[in-house]
Amino acid sequence: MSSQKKELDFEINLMPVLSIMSLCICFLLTIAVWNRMGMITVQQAIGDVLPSTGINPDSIIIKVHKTRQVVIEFKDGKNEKDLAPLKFGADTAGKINIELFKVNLAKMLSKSGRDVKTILVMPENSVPYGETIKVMDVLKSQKLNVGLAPSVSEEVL
Amino acid sequence: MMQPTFLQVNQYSPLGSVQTLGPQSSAKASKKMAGLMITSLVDAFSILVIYLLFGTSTNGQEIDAKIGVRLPTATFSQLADQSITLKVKNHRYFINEKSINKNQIADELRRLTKTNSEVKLKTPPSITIVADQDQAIEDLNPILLAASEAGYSQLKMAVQHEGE
Repeated sequence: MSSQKKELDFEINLMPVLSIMSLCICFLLTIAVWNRMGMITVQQAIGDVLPSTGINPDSIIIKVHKTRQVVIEFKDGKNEKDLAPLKFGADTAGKINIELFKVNLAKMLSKSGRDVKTILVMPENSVPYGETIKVMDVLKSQKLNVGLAPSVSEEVL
Repeated sequence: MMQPTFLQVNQYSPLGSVQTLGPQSSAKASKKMAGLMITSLVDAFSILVIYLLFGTSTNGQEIDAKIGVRLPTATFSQLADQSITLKVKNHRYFINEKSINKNQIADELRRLTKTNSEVKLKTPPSITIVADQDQAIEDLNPILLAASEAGYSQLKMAVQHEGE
């Protein structure tokens, strides 16, 4: 009778582990989100009837023309200040000059000397939606409340 | 005479020799074929699985931006949440994937406000606008006016988040 020596060593088979991991990775890759979607919240510039307090808040109006010229105006709620609007043209690519917009916005905010929290964006009809979003993105970076007015024709602006 | 089995013929395969993780006896010390190191592969796979598990976010709203709609990019955007989705494409309007005439947007929003209990819970009520970045802002006018009529004071513009 032959005696068979029993091995006491313990062996782990890694092939099933690799198979399961490959399956998990394939599944997670298919459901993974690679493009993060976000949103920019804006308030309606029309509608909502608020109780009248008799005092108009200070606000800044940003008009965007179809030529991508941007005009930044300050509306004084107390009618004490009369600041000249700031204007600048498009960049070399024919789009809204965002760098100049940031500079001029900071200039207007410091000139006003008030804690302006409300900004209204008034684009012209043919201004692309993406460029309007870029303007609102800059305003959001300054933690300002952004209002969007329905677009208007050139004559109105 | 019995034919040798597959295992017997290929007992010296590179994978076969290392597929089991276990102590090696001195008798097997001399191998004529180089084996594959798969323990490092298991380590790499584990790290990949853990990263993907943490990276897969289940929060936020799934916005179905169809092929042909390029969302504008923004740096300072918030995470999208559940709200009524209004899409604009080629002068056509869609509310929650349902095509609608621009004159009926306000009525449809009012109807959704009444029936949708999720929207009722959110104050103030809001809608998410999905539009192509090259679209003229003029196409959004019916939405802005209809939203105002239906009592939606807050608008959310869907964007593609860009790193700072």
